[in-house]
Amino acid sequence: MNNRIKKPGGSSCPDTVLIRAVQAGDMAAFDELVLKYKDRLFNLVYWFLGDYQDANDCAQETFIKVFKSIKKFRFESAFSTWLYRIAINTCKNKIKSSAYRWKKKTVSLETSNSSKNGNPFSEIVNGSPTPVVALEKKERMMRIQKAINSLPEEQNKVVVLRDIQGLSYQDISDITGLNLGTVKSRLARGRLALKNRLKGRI
Amino acid sequence: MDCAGIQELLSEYIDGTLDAKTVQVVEEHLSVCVDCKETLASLSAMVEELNALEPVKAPADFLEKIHQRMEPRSDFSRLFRKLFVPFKIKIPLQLAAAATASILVVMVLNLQQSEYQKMEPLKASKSEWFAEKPKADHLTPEFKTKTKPPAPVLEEAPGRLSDSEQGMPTRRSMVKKPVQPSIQMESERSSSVVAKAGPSAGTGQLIELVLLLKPVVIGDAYSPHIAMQKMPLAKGDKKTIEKERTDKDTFGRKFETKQQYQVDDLLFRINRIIWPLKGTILTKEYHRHKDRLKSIYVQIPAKNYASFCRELTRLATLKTPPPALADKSFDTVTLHINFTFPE
Repeated sequence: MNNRIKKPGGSSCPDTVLIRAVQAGDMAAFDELVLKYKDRLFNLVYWFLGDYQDANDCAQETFIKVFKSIKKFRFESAFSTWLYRIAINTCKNKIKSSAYRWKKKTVSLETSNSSKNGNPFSEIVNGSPTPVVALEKKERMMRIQKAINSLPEEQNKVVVLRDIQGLSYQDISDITGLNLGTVKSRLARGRLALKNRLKGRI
Repeated sequence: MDCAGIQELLSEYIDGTLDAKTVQVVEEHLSVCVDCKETLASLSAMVEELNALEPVKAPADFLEKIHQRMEPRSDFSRLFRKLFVPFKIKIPLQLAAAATASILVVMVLNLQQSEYQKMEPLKASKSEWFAEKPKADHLTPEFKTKTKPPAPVLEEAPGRLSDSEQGMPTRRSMVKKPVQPSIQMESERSSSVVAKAGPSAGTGQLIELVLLLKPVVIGDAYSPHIAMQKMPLAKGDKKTIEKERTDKDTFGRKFETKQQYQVDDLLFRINRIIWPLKGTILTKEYHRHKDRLKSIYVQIPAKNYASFCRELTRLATLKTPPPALADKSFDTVTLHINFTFPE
């Protein structure tokens, strides 16, 4: 069953070469790194925060932080692990920020218009065979998103990294800094909790 | 192993990370426990669903936006961001702050204006009294001399006024005033007819009144902030506010109180009665070599005569009750008020 774990997609140029180029001041190499990881990172951040605009802001900020601190990168872990670690910390800071709390408290009037900015639900509509199926899929996705966001942060993080990003237990352990046993138990509890919240909806 | 223990393992069972022995234990339990089997089925379905979720992609201009954010900003745009971004939060807050500030400014201005309005009549009457005195009188500040014995003031009408309200001024220089109106009041009846000889020949009747004065403790310094405190008071507040105004000035400092009279204060009190009744002080007469007011001539509209007498009795005791108006055909009436001081 382990074969379902998604591995980061390959690139024509290995990360090490790109990173060394960026460390030497090559902006084009940085752009390539961004293009290589942007969707994966964006998907992760989106499922953490549950808001497209926040995810966009946070993902951009993550790459800016990466650019600023890439000279400190010593190749002790995979670049993706380092990138995800920065992304998770950025998300945590975002959630703690007063602006984010304010936004959560107030009802966003832009939700209905957000599809214009590349909202995932609009893409589903385009690729769906019929509007009814598309609508069902959209609703299901919204329910899942709500349920994931309602999990405690420690469980949310592990479930997203494992079931949505498809990372291995070891990768999750490296990114979060938790030991393997903790990752397994948090994932088990997180999945059970999520199942109960989604009961009868899937 | 109980159901709770097995359900904890189901997550790893789905991922295939359990060792062979644990897998066997789980499968044995699942073969006999329907609940755990159902849980496994729904967990597997959910994990499949999550794995199959379409990845959310970054917007097309993602890289471009990163470049924009990485560009070094000018000081102005940095300041602008600091002040206004995010707009949704900062602009409403700033508007609220601006509104609060403007309300405060309006309130403060209104308060100041109302205070000026209160002060104006006082200033006017006071300046006129001083205008009538000779210059020498201004050069020797009265409040500095403390050697004067307490002089008599208006005698208290029993049970009507508190002691402090009867404070009267002293005046060191005796001045005989020329016969002329001291305060020109706006009155539609100023063209009244004179009937008897007197300082204001042309009015209907000259009425003689005698006011009995007695000593009282008052503040010796006469200055605008004290004048402010001597504004008319609500009856209920008399006691407390009177106390404050004799003991403290506007800034809360204590000032010395003495038994001393001031002509200004007496005139001030009389003016306070006359002004609202549309009357004027025609002349003032002082005792020779004494800082006391001997008498004044007052002209008031005849219709206000009764009110004036009533107000006077509030100020001091009248030696004889005020006579009734003999001839009511005249518009104005002239009163000659004599002040009697106990020696």
